[in-house]
Amino acid sequence: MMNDSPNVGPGNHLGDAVLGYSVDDRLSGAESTKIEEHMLVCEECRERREAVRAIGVELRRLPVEAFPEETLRELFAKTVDAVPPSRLPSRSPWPIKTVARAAAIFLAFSVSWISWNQYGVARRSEVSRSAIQVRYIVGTTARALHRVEQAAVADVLIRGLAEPLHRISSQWLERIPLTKGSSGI
Amino acid sequence: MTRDEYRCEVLKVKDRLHSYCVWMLGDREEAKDVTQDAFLRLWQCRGDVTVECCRAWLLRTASRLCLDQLRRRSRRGQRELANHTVEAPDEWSSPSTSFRGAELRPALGEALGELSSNERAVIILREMEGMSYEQIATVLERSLSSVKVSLHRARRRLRKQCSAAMRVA
Repeated sequence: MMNDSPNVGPGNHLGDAVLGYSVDDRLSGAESTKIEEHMLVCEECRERREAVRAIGVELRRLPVEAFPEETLRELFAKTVDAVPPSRLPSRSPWPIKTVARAAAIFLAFSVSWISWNQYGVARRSEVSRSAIQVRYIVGTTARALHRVEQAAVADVLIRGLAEPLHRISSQWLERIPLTKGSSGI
Repeated sequence: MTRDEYRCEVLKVKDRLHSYCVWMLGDREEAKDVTQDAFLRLWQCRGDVTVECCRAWLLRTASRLCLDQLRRRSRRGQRELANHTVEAPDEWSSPSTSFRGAELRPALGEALGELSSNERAVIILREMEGMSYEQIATVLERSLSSVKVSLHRARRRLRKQCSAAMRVA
């Protein structure tokens, strides 16, 4: 036990550490015998050890300060008397924090997934509605253009062909000989 | 630790723990608050503390809280044990109670206040709580050699400061 081995002799005195070990009975049998032999011949070391012992005795006799009753009642009111006994497990069998974290992650994931899906449906319906509108506009425009085109074509045909046809038909009518009855008139 | 075990342990150690805090801080009001704080922390950690290690746990927590409080005081420039006094019980006035006691006690009270906070913690745990060196090292979360050095220093300083009183006796 005693690392700082005592240099015990008539002219040498024990160190504080050795005195402390001696008071605390932390010396081996051989070391203790050596110390006691020294104590027989060295009054100063004997007195120092006696002083260390006396201080220890007096410290153990220092008054115990009672914890105030009122503070104790406050403490119990905040602790054991604040919660029903049935709700006081010493330790929960479930790892509460882990379960809470897992639940939070699951909830967040679920909300995200549902929101994304809802957004996707909305987006798809918006796209299809827009597509229908575009198709309607394009179709209507196409039909209108078609009618305009038909009318234009007809107009062109009528205007362009009517006069030549009239001219040709007139020439043909002039070349056709009249019938007897008609020529005698 | 169950509710009943908690109550039982508090009732068992409350006065000793409070005394330890009073001697560490030298102020009864602060000691009361620190003791209550240590008990509240025990309640919060009751799932992790067994009845067997409850006393050591409370002393460790109270030591930390006391050392923190003393550090705060020193930062504020106050003396650690400014108002420290020893109030001797009636039995101390009896001359037959103990060897050299009547002369030694007042000097001892002052001398304790002169120690550093670490030395004071070690000497109180050793002499007043009767702990072994190893237990003190565990409670104060320090090495065994550091505890031994603090203990020997504290004893030497107490012996020197009380030497006059002991010579008178």
